Amino acid sequence: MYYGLMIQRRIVPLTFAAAMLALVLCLPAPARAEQKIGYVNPQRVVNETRLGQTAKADLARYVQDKERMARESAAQLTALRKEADAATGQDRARREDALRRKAVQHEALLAENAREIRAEETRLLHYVMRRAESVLEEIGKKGGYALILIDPNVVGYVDKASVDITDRVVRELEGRTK
Amino acid sequence: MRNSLLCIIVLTCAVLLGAGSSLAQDPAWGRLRVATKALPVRENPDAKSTTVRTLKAGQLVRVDFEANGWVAVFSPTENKRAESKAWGYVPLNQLRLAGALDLPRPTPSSVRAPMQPMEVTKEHSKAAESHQGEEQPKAELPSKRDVAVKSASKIVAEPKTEPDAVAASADNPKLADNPKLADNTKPADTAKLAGKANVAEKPVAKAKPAPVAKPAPVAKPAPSPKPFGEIRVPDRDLAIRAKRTKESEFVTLLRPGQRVRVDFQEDGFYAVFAPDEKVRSLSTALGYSRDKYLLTEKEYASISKESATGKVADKAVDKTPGKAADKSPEKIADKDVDTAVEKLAEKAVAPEKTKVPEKAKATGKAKEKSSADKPAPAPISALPHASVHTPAHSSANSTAPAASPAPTPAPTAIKQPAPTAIKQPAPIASKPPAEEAAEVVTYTVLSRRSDPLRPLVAPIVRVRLESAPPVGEALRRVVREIWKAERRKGEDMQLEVYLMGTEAGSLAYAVARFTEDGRLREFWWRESLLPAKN
Repeated sequence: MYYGLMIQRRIVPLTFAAAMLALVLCLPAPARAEQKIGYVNPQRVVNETRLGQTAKADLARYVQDKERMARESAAQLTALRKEADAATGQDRARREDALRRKAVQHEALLAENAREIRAEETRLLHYVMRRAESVLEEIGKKGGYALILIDPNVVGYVDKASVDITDRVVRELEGRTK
Repeated sequence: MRNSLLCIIVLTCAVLLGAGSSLAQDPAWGRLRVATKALPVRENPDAKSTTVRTLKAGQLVRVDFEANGWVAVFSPTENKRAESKAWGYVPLNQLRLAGALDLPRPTPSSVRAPMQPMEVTKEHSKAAESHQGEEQPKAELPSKRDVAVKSASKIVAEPKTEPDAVAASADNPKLADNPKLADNTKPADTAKLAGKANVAEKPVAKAKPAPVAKPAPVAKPAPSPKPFGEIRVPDRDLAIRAKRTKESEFVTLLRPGQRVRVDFQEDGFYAVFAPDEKVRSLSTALGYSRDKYLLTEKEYASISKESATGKVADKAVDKTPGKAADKSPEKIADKDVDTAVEKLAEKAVAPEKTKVPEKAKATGKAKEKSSADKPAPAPISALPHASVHTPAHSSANSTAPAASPAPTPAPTAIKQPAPTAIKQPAPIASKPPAEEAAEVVTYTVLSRRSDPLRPLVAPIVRVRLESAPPVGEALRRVVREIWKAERRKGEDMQLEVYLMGTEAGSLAYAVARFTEDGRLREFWWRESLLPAKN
C-alpha cells in the first residue's frame, strides 16, 4: 500500500511532464519560432560601431586625465623625496613626515583612479548597450525572439550561426546613427 | 641702578622675542620669486595647459613644489604649504630670485663697495622696513649694481613694470585694502618702492660684476607717462566702494557707459581710476568696483547696439538712470553689487530649479590675460532672452576677442523649445573658429547638492545646457564660466553638465572638478552622448 502510494506520487509528475512535452512538439511551427533565443556580443558592438568607438575615445581621454593626475602626484612625491634626502636635522624629520603623508595620498589616488576608471568603463558600456536596446527590441519583435542575451557571463555555449545576432544589431545601430 | 639695568635687559629680551615671533609669522616654506615678465600661470605644469591667471612683470610670488622645471605659484603671504592653495604653475626659469630669504647675506664690503649715494641706501632700508619688515635686508647693495640700477630706471621709465611692493599689494588684499600701506604707494614713495624693487633685483645683478651706475633716477617720484590698465565702462549703475567688498563704504556711483580706467584686478574687483590718471598707484584710485560689470568699450558698444535694435530689452540700462536718481547712493550701490548671477547661484540651492529669470552673457574671446581671472562679463539681459520653455542662465564663452565683439547668436539656436537630442544643432567643434568664438551657451541649474555629513566633499552642481553643446577647449571654457557664475566662496565644486533632452539619471555630458580657487583638477566629457556625433 505504502509503495503503491510512492510510485503513484512519482508517476504523476512524470506523466504530466511528458504530456507537456508532447503538447509543445505538437504545436504548429510558427508558434515554436517565437521561442527563438538570440545573443549579442557587447564587446563587438562597442568595437564595431561608431558609438562604441566614440565611447572608447571618451574612456581613453578619461584614463589620460587620470594618468596626468597620477603623474603629477608622482612628480610631487619625487620632489618631496629629494627634499627630504637633502634636508638635515629637524627639517629632515619634517620633510620626511610630509613625504610619508604624500606617499599615502599618492597610493590612495592610484587606487581611486583605478576604481573610477573601471566605473567609467562600465558606465560607458551600459550607455552604449542602452542605446542598442531599442534596436534589440525591434529585432526581437521582427525576428520573433523571445529572449536576447547580452551578457556573455550568463552564456555557456553559443551556436554563432543560429543564435548570434551581433552583426545584425551592429548594422541596425550604424544605420540609425548615420 | 641694578634694577634699571635689569629692566633694560628684560626689555631687550622682550624686543628680541617679539622680533623672533614676528619672523616666525612669515611662511617658512617655499621661496619668494619675482616674475621677470608678464607670465601666464598655467593650470597644470604644462605649457599647453589652460592659463588661469597672469603674473605681472615684477610681481612677487611664493613658489614651491618644483617638478620638471615647473613650480607651483602661491600668494607671497600664503601660510599653508599645500599645492591645492597654488594659483597654478609657471616655469621656474621665468622667475628670478626675490626677497631677503633668497638673498645672500651682505658683507660689509658689499655695502661699501658700490659707489652708491647714501640717501638711496637709506631709502632702500626705509622701504624695506616699511613694506617687508624683517624679510627685506637693510641697505645691502649687491656688488653688481649696474643691473640693479638699470632695472630700477626701467621701473621708472616703464610704469607698467610695477615695483614689487605694488605688485605684491595687488595680490594681497590686506596690503591693497590697508590705507596705510596704500599710502605708501603715493608718488612720493615711488622712489622708495623703486628702491625696494632694486633690492629685489640684487640676486640677478650678482651675475655681472660691473661698476656702479647712478641710482639717482630711482629716487624721482616720476608719474607714469604712459597710461596703465585699461579703459572700461560699466554696463549699469555701478558703485565704487572704498574696499574690495560690497559691504565697504560707498564712494561714488558710475553711470552706464561712463569711462574709467581700471587695474589691480583682484577678488572680483577692479581698482577704478579717473580715465586720464597717469599714476598707477592704489592711492590714486577712486575706489573699487566689481569687475564683471566693467566692460570694454567695444563690448559695451555691441550691447548698446543690440539694445537699440530692439532685440534685447536691456532692463538694467533702461530702467536705472531715471530711477537711480531718486534713490540714495547706498541703496543703488547695494543693489547693483548684488548681481543677478549671485542671486541665481543662491537660488540654485533649491533642486530642480525651473525658473531662472536672468541670463548672463557670453562675450567673445577674452584676451589671454583676463579670460581666466575675470568672471563672466555678464551684462545681464544683454542677450536675447530666449523664449525657451526652461528659462536658463547663459554662460559666457570668454574666448571671443574683445576687439571683435561677438555677434549675437541666432536666436533660433537658443529658442529651441526642449529639443530632443536628435534635433540639437551641430556641436561647436564642427564650426569654424570665428563662429565658435561667438557661441553663447545657455544653461539651467538643475540642482546643487552638498552632503552636510561630509563637508569636505565638494558640492555637486548639475546644470543642463540649453544650447548646442561645445566640445574640447570650448567646453572647458564654458564650464569655467559656469563655475564662475555658480561658485561659492571657500567651496570646491563638482560641476556636471547635462545635455538638453537627456533623461533624469542619464550620464552627464561633462564633469569638471574645481578647487575653491578655480583650479580645474579634473575635467572630462563624453562625446558619445552627442547625438550629432553618433
